[in-house]
Amino acid sequence: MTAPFGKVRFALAFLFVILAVNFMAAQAVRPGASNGNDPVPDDVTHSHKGNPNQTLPAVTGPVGQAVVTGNGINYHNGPVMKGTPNVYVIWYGNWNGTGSNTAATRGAIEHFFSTIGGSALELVNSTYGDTTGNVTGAVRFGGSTIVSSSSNLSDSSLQTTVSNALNSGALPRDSNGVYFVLTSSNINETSGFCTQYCGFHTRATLGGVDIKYAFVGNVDRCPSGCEIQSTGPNSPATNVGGIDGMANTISHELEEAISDPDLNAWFDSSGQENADKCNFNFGATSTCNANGLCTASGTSARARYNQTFGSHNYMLQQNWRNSGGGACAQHL
Amino acid sequence: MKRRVFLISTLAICTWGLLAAQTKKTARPAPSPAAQPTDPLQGSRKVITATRTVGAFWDLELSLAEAFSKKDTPGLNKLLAEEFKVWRPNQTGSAIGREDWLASGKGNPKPTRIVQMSVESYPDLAIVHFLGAVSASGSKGKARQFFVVDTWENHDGNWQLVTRYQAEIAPIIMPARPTGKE
Repeated sequence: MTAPFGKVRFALAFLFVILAVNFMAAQAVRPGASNGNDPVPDDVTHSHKGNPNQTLPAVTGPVGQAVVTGNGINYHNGPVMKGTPNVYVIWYGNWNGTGSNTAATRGAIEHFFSTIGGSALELVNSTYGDTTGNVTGAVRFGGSTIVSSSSNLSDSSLQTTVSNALNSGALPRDSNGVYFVLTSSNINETSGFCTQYCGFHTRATLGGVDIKYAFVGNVDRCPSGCEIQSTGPNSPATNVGGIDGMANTISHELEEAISDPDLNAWFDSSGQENADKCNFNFGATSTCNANGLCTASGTSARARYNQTFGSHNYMLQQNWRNSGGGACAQHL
Repeated sequence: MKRRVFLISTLAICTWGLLAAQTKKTARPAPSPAAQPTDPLQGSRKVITATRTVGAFWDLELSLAEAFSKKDTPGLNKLLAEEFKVWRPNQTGSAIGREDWLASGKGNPKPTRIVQMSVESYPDLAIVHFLGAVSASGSKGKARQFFVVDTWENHDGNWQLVTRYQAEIAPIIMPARPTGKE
């Protein structure tokens, strides 16, 4: 009589253990299971110097094949942009003016967007991933539109500008896109352009789609704050460094928008994203020479550069490499 | 027969459990579709690329805070102008002079943690504002926050703090950076 009862008891205990193991396995890969709120609250602003008040400790990321941790930057369970992210540009202000506010600058920046995909610098971003895959390093320029205006922007009107471009059909509504609002130097972004920041990236749900967008102003408005050299490798004239200064900030925002598009993926304990950790850190540089990869002004001024792609030299800050212990890197 | 049924059941439960775990192993989806209007008095959440000027004065402010905490007289002499004074709300409307301020203790705290810095920069003058914090001391202490405006002057290439405007504020609850745990 006792033997069958013992078997049943053993079977029940065995079943209980298996259920417990299964339950714990499910919890371990689903750390946010207790709450289904929107993971992106309003009004998060932080600088590259970090803000411990605004960040919470990193969780131990679900270590799947795509998520690598332990390199000085932490994974917080949000998605990265995989595949080939599309970049769209809204040219805001007066881009048919003088200095660096010209059609030539528009062409140069769009060429920059068209060729940065797969570059040595962009591939540094491929060290970041989420649990379904890694950033590829590919980028595609998806098109642009012009918004002629003399009005300054605020955070609110910036979002409206992006929204209008989508609603009018000037640009497609693309959840795998990054929309850059690039302003001419007569335009201010009143929430802190030039006094606090050179650019920023953020996201909003517009028309039911998660839209990632960035602001980068023409840094000829504040060369001492946002340019590393007054005449860069792509300057159209001496002391007109806007193209190169903007290209540098653009690359910064692009790396971050791809590796932390919803502001909940990759940043360190101080709140710094990958490019923040290397802000204005350029690494080894070379001097422009007469090989056609710099403008005549850039060559004449012996401008410095550290990246070459698309038949142009650029001076671009390094990006934080999420491998080998982590470091600012120009390439993998 | 019973054993076979039991083993098959166990296998099925294991498979179901592992599959359930795998399906939850995807990255979190994009945030909810509710559009959030931007409050013009609060700005919007964003991740900024700080200016070079902010970087430079951030380092100066941290050096000053460190010199305070270490009572580093040469460091303080380098960073504080002789005519340095502090304006803060008090009963008489008087400024606090350099020596009195340095000698004062807990009643006149010197913020050591800095966030939200902005710099208005001119050739020989910079106006720097930030939120400063003093950490809680002891188990009963409370962290305190201050809104600080500093004016720095460039004396022959050496930036010195000439005036500080400091007011304690009700602690601002910083919105937490999303962690994916929400």
